[in-house]
Amino acid sequence: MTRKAWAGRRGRSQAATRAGMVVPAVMIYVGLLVVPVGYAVYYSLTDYNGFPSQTPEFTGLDNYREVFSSTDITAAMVVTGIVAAAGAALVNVAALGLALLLRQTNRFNTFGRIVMFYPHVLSALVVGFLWQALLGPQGVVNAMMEKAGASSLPFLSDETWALWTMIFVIAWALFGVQLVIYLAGLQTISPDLVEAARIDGAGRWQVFRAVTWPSLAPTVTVAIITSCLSLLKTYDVVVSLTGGGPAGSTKTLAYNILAVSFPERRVGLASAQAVVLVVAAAVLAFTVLALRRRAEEGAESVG
Amino acid sequence: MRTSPRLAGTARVAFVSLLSLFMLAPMYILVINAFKDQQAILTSPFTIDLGSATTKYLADAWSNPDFSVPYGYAVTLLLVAAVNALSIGVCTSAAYVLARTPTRVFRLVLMFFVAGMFVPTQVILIPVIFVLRGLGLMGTLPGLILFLTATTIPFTLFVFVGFIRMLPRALDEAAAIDGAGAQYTLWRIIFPLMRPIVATVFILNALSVWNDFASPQVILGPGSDVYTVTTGVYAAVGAYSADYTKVFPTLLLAVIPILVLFVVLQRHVMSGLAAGSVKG
Amino acid sequence: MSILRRRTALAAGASLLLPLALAGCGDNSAGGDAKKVRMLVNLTDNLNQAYWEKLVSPFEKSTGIDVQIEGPTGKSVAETFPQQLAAGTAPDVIQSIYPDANTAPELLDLSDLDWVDGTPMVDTYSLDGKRYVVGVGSQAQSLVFYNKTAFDKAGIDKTPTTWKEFTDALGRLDDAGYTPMQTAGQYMTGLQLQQLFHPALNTSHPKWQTAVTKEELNIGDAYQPMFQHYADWLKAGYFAKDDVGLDPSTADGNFVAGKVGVYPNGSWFLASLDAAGKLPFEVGVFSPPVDDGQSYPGPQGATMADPYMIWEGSGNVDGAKQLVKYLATDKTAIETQLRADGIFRQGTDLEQSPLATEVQAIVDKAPELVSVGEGAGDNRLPVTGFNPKFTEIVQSLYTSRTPEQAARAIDQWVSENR
Repeated sequence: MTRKAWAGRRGRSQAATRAGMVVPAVMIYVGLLVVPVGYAVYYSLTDYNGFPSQTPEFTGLDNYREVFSSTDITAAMVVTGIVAAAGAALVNVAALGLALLLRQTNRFNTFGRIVMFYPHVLSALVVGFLWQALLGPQGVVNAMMEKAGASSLPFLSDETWALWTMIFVIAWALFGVQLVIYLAGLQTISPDLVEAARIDGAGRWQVFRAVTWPSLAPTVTVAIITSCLSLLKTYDVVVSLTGGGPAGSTKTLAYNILAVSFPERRVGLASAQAVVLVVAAAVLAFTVLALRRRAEEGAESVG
Repeated sequence: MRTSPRLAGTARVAFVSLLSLFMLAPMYILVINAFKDQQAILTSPFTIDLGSATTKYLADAWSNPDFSVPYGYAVTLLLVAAVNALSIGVCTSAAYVLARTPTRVFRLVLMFFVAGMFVPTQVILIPVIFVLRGLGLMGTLPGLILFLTATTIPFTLFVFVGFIRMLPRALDEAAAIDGAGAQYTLWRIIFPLMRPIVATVFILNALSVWNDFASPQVILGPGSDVYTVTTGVYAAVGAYSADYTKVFPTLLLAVIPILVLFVVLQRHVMSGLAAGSVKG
Repeated sequence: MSILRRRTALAAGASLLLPLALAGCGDNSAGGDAKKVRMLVNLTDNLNQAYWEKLVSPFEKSTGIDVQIEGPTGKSVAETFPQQLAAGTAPDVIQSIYPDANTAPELLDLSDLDWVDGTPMVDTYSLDGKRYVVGVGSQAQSLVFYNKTAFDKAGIDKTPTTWKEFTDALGRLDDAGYTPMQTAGQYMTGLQLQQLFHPALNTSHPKWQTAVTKEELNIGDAYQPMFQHYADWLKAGYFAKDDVGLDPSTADGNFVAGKVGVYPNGSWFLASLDAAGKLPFEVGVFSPPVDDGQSYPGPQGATMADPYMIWEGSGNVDGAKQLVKYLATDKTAIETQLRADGIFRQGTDLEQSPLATEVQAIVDKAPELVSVGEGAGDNRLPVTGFNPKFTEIVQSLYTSRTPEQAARAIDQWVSENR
């Protein structure tokens, strides 16, 4: 056997080993994430109740037409959009403001960080149940207000109130996470730069505008879009806090897919909504990637 | 004109304290009302009255046949462990290959994985049902573990590849000269160096598995007898959300262990999350 | 190094073994365990887990079959069952919902079983002559419970029979300091409005569900007058705007506490009243009002109570049949069920509360028993999910929609989902 042939065989077997090391990850990922997305696309083009006794019947783009013409589903899209946009804005404004207040590491601030973060570990479902008990028409807060002689507030019984209550509850549970991320972002700002600005006679606000904000801005943009992305799939809070009501005013798209279309045995329609949401998420995600790349290039050109 | 630093400092402390009170108020209400009857909850939800406090409702919640808190925790912790073990296991070797083989194919493979990071997992649960039914894993814990693992793979792989790329290749080459195979190099030399990133990924994955409600709700279903903390809480209070003598004690029992765990581990959780955000 | 190796080996081993080890726990398939029957039931205030366990325990003892009671993972059995059918994890026996064209192919045809003959309402719910569901009795759907003490105080000496009288009564209750009418959120909002309207609706449009299916009637047109009454009462403050966010059991509690004048509900509320013990006031019941010129009382809404169906794919069809037969024919089982949820059944000599006797009299006096909501058997609406959607639309009367808009909204939904 020549040396070259031996090397070739060894190269081939090495390539095989390498491929083999990737296979398990590929299999699980493809089998349970990619294939389901493929199924969703396929079912979205059919009329199917999901039961074994029926075979999916190809109906072209009918489901998509319905997704965009049905008042129910477009309303759910609007709700999802409001939750994602307003929720992301609220979460990030609160988190950024607080990060600036809690940036120094001392005992008080550590305590503050824990307190702001803890709702996230309770899980969104539990948070929803908890606030439901607090804000329901005969819940704790309203019972107290009536006792104090004030009239009760329709936190969860008025369509507009319920939506904003839900956004508030989401923000309450979520902003701690972004807070930690911003605190990490603040750590990367060089103290020398801040010090230099101070020596130049800059006030707090000027330091923020001239030093902190420019170095934080890319983090903020990315953080807002990432939180938008995670709020697009809001489901748990809807289940436990409002059940989609009153009058369907808090039904998000994810809730509509799992708790309305599916029980109505409309797997095709549910899948079309899922595909729409996946596409919306993909568009947002591409925006993140593009922004991040631009930010990195910007950072390089500065450095 | 500038505000005096001391005044600003006091204002800051006051503001953060007030906000902390607001963050903790629901917890306070949860704790004190777990010991009251419905009437007392509705008439005086903010006061502590040791005279009329009772542990009856907590005991009822503890012995609820629909939701045993220790069992829910056991299942959820097992999920967290299994999903992390599986995810970190398969991603470490895949990431090593992808990071060390800069060919076009593997770069495309990486992009293919990264794309999965943005798929909203809840909304593809319906087709997942059909896949798992085909595999005979619907309504089972292994089915849920596989699906949750799949949802964590994109992020895990992405940050692992980024991390391994920063490790000097000289390490691999030195090992290769010593005659070590790829597996040996990976698990004995590279993996130990990955500890910080593995810790970060572990925490992030643990949080997402822990918080998940939709996946166990759909995949486990009512027939399997297996429930996590979230689906257990749903079964225990979902239908009785106006009976506060059920809601508060059940929620309290469900959150105490995780809160204790969080407070003990808070430094690791927060630094892990922060590291993830900077690297991710 | 060796510690590390052990650790990774352990981790790898765990990751492989855990799923396998747990596969045993998730035994839920239709795998045919002859000694076990899974039954999916709705859990309510009246019918909780303990009740179901107690109901099936004599059966378990005498047959040795283990009955596993399962509550829904979604809001209701109606939401969870289709999901389980899709997943192939459906239970052997399904309680609380009725067959329809979609689910019928997945259900066991019970027509050949002789004990099914003569069970209550079995033919009302048959589809194309096939019996897929067996019940235990019937529940009256259109009842107005009222606080007699409140009526006395408000000077109302006769229960109302027309919408005008009903509205007057609400006004007087209001003046007397009571909450005139109690409503609630969730499924209850739409249900109550339907309950109030069954007698009048079925007088003017007999078999309205079929008429809608044949496109001879728009639901919106049929319901708009009732939406109007409801909106008027709401505007007059005869029930609280907040009720729309209220849990139904809290609403029950409000009535029991004596704060409320009238409370439209189904006969299952009798069981809640029984459970509440002695009340500080007397409760009465009457049939809902009808339009001017219609004869009173109008038709009474009635549903098969405790309907049971069997999944055709069940691995233990035999055990499932035994269980359903037991639930629908055994004397003790029947009595337990009748008592627990305000259910009526002809030919039982169950001792009744005076109020239950009054309900029985209303049912007996009704000119006809009619199907409600989506309908029953072949008299069905052409849509699935009518009740949740209807509730949503009634709830929108509280804040955003006019009766006219609500009527158009329900018509639009039907045309989109037909």
